[in-house]
Amino acid sequence: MEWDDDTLRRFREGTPEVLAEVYRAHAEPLARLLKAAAWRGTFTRLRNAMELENTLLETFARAFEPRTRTAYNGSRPYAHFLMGIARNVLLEQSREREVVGRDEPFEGLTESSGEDGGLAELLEDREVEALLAAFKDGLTREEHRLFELRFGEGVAQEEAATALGLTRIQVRRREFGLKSRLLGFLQSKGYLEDLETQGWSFFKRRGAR
Amino acid sequence: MSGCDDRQAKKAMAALFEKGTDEGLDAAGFERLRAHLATCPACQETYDRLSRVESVLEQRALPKARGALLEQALWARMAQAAGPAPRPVMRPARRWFTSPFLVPLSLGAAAAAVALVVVGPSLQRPDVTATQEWQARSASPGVGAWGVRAFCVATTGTVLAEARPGGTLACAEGNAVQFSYTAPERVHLSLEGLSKTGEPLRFFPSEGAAPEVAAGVDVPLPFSTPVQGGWLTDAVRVRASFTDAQGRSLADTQVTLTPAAR
Repeated sequence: MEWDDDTLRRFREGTPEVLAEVYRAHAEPLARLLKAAAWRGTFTRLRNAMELENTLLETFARAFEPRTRTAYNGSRPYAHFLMGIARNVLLEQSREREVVGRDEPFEGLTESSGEDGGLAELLEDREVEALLAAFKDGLTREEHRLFELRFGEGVAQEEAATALGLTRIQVRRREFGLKSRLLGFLQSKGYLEDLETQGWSFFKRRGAR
Repeated sequence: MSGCDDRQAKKAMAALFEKGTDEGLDAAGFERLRAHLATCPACQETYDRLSRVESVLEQRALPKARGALLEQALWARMAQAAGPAPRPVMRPARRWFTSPFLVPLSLGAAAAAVALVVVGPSLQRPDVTATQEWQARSASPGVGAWGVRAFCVATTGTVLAEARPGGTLACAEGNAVQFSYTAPERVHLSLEGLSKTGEPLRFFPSEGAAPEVAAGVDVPLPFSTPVQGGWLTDAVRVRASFTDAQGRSLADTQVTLTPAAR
């Protein structure tokens, strides 16, 4: 996002639209950087989705405090500013949990390093990708096309509807059906199986076994 | 596998995965889920695995639905932080609303539900003697075109009550107070109230000198103030001061806030 004088002024004033824009522009890149760091061995707890989300939330909450907003001068990249806050958040959390972790230099992380996940992450992703590929094999041609449009190519529901000759509502319903079946499929393949408990009836109802 | 019999949490996770925020999980449900996850390693693992699938599907580190729900959680957290903490007043007795109550109310409610009147460039400097719109919202019709209205907004964004300049707004704990102003020209604006103990409460700006605001009709202020923490247990008179760049008073209007039963 562009940081012109007006944007910086409104950011410092706490204008909600600007804060929302900043969050939306930086949440995903920051998540990528944190995740990449976690899989490289720094702050490994961030491999856990909830830990990652908690760290993101805490980082933005601090970044949007009035004093912190005022401290941002608009000249250095805001992503670097955020990373500094994230690093402090993580170090504080580590101290609170009495975890002595490897304190690798966060400042060394760049945008490109976000793409550089660890081998373990790669292997886990491959496991999921293989499962998804197997799931897609069982889809009809139309379902496969919808799956590809929405998840492979990431097109909006409206565009997918146009491409498939459906209404947006139809796309939404079919997408919901696909995801429900995917949940059942993941369970049937053991990806979620070991998590099944007595109260796990939601997945059982979809009974993909 | 150690069991977790919280079916609501499991349904919430599935709903988040299947439908995202589109009829899936709302902000309140997400908060309940997060609270459960914090104490349930089994569900945390499920959440983690579902998150991984979503990430691979969307090619994102932060799946869109979770990003959107986290954003709402962020605003809610900031709103909570904005509540004036009940603490002993130090001299000089001046308490500030240090942090704004953000998007869910101020954008959702103020920008949409509060019947915002969009002011086009042609109205930037209207003829106040000829424009009924300005007159109607003035604190002193026929005299000036300055005024502040107050709205009581529920967490859902619904406007529950409103008060015109000089009026009284009743707002219950748990809701939020949103102000809008009407000014015929660019002006510096501040809104301050007095609690029952005589303690100053600053609604706008949250800190610093009165900022310059643009001319407009019923322009919502960027922040709402949540009614929480006991600051609205008795009538609070909120004074809106419109001043020029030299600090000279152009107009003063007042709205009284009172607590309402839930």
